[in-house]
Amino acid sequence: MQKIGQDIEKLLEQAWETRKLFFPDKIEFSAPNRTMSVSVTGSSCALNCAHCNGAYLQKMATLETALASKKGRVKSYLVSGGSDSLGKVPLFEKWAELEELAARGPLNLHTGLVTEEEARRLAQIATVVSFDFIGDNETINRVYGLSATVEDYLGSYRHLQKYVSVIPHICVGLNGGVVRGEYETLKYLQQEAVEAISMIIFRPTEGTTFEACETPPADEVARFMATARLMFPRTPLYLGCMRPSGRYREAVDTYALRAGFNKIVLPAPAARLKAETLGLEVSISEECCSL
Amino acid sequence: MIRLSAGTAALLGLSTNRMDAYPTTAYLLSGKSCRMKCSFCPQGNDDNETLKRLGRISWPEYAWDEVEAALSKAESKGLKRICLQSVRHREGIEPLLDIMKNLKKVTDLPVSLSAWIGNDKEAAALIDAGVDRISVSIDVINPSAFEDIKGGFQKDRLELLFKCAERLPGRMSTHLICGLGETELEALKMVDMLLKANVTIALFAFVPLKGTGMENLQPPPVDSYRRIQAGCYLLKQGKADFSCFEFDNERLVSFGLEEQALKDILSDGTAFQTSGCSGCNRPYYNERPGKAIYNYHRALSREETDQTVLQLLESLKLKAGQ
Repeated sequence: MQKIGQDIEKLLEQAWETRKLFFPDKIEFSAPNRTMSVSVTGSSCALNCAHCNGAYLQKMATLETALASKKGRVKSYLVSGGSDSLGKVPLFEKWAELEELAARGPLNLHTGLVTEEEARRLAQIATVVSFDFIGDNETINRVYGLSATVEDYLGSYRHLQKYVSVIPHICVGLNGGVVRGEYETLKYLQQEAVEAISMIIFRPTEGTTFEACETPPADEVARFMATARLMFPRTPLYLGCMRPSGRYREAVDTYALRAGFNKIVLPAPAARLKAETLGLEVSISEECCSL
Repeated sequence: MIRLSAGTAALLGLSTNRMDAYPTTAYLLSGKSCRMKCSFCPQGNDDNETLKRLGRISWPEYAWDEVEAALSKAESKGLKRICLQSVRHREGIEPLLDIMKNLKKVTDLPVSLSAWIGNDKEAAALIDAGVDRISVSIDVINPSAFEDIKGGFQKDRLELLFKCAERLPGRMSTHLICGLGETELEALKMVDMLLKANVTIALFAFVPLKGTGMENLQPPPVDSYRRIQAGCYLLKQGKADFSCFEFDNERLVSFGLEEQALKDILSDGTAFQTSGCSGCNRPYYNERPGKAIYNYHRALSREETDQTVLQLLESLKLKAGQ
C-alpha cells in the first residue's frame, strides 16, 4: 500500500480514537443484493453529467420490470433515475407505480432537487432519501451542467430533512477527480441536522466526459474521511457502493476503517482482514447502505 | 432570588463596590450548593462561607425584581450578553426555564447558559425557551482525572455534548480548565476534537480555592497555559493544523509554523484574551488583580502582547524538563 503523509496518519489516528470513544467495536459490511435498483426513466437522462452520462442507469431495472417480476429475495428498492433538465428525478410522473412499489418494500429514493411540497409528498412513500449534496457552485455547473447553486442543494436538503429520513451523500472527487468543494459540504452539513453521511468516490467511467480523469488520490480521500469523522464524532459514516475497484478500493476501504467508518458496502478483501486486526466485530447486511 | 457576580452587581448599580475592571457580560448564578461535587468548585460544598464563591468571584444574592429592573438597562451599560450559570438543581431544568421566561421579558441580549443537562431534549427545550448558547462543561481534560475530580465518565459528557452539537449546530459550548493533571498534548488534542465538532471552547486556568478539596494545589504554570491558549487560538482560526503540532514528552514544542508567521498571527493579542462566547470577558476569574493574567479581560497593550509572544516563543525553544 502506498505511503501516506504523517499528517494524514495523525488524522487517521485521531479519527480512530474518536470512533473508539463513541461507537462500539463493530463494523457493518453490506452486500446489498436484496435491494433492487430501479430507474424511473429507464436509461434516459436529460443531464448526462460529466461523470456518468447515463452509464449507471443502464444496469438498473425499469419500474415496469420491477413491478412485473416476482419479489423473490428482494426486500427493498433503490429508486433512482435520470434527471430532468432542472436536476430533479421525475418521480411524480410515476407516482402510482411508486406507490405500488412502496407497498412491496421499503424505498430508498434518489430525488435530486426538491421543493418543500415535493419533499412532503415524497415522504409518503420513501423510507429514506439519498441526497447528493454538493457544496461547490463550480462543481454543480461543470459536472451537472446546472445553473443551480449550493443554496438550492441546501434548501432541498432542509425540505427533505423536515419530512423524511435523509442521508446526504458526498461524492469525493466528483469534479473530475479533484477534491474541491467536499470540505465545504461537510461545513454546510455541520450546520444542519444530520443522521448519517454516506460517502462515495468518483470513478472514471468509459464514455463520459471524465473518462480520462484520475480517481482522487487515495491519501486525500483518507484525509477527507478522517476529517469527516472528527467533524461528526457521533454521526454514522458509510462508505457507499459507488467507488473504484481493485487496489484503489483496497486502499480506501482500509482507510475508511481506520477513519472510523461504521458501514462499508462490498469491502475489498484487505479491508475484511484489517477489520479483524482492528478488533472490530463484523456484521453482514444485505440491503442498500442508506436503508 | 438570583445571584450576580460582584462585578455585574457593581456595573448594574446594585452594589457600591468599585471594580478594577467591569464585565461586558452580565453573569448570573442560579442556586447555592450543587448536586454535583466537583472537587475544584466551591458550590459543591456545604460551608456557607465557601458557597459565596464560584471561581474566584463572590456572588451576592439579589431579589429578582431588583435584578430585573437593572437588567432592563443592561444594554445601555455596554453589556453584550447575559451568562446564566446554574448549580445542578434538584428540580432539573425547570428553574432555568422559569428564569429564561423572566429574562426574556426584560432584555433582548443573547443568553448563554452553563448548567448541568441530562440529555439533548433538555438542551433543545432550553434553546426553545430562548437560550442562545448552552455549555455542557467538560472542565477536566484527562479522562481519569475527570472521574476523580468531577465523578462519572468524561466519555458520557462528551457524547452528550456532541449529540447536542449535532442536533443544535452552532449553539453548543464547553469549558475546559487547564492544570488538572492533563498534559499539553491531551489538552490540545481535546481542543482540536471539540473545535472540529463545532463546539465553542472557553478556556480557563485552574484556581485553587479556599474551602475546596483542591485548595492546596498549584495553578498551572503561566508558560504552559500560554502554549495551550495559543494552540487553541491557532486551531480555532484555522491558522495551524493539530497534525503539525510537535510535542516532546507531551509538552508542546512547535505549532508547525515559522517563527515570523506565528508572531504575525498572534500580534493582535486576541489569543490571550478570555475565550468562549462573544462578548464574554470575565475579569479576574482566574487570577488576582496585579498577578500574572491567564485570560486578559481586555485588549492587550502593544508591550503586553510583545512580551507575551516573546515569552511564548522562548518557552517553545526549551525542551521538556528544562
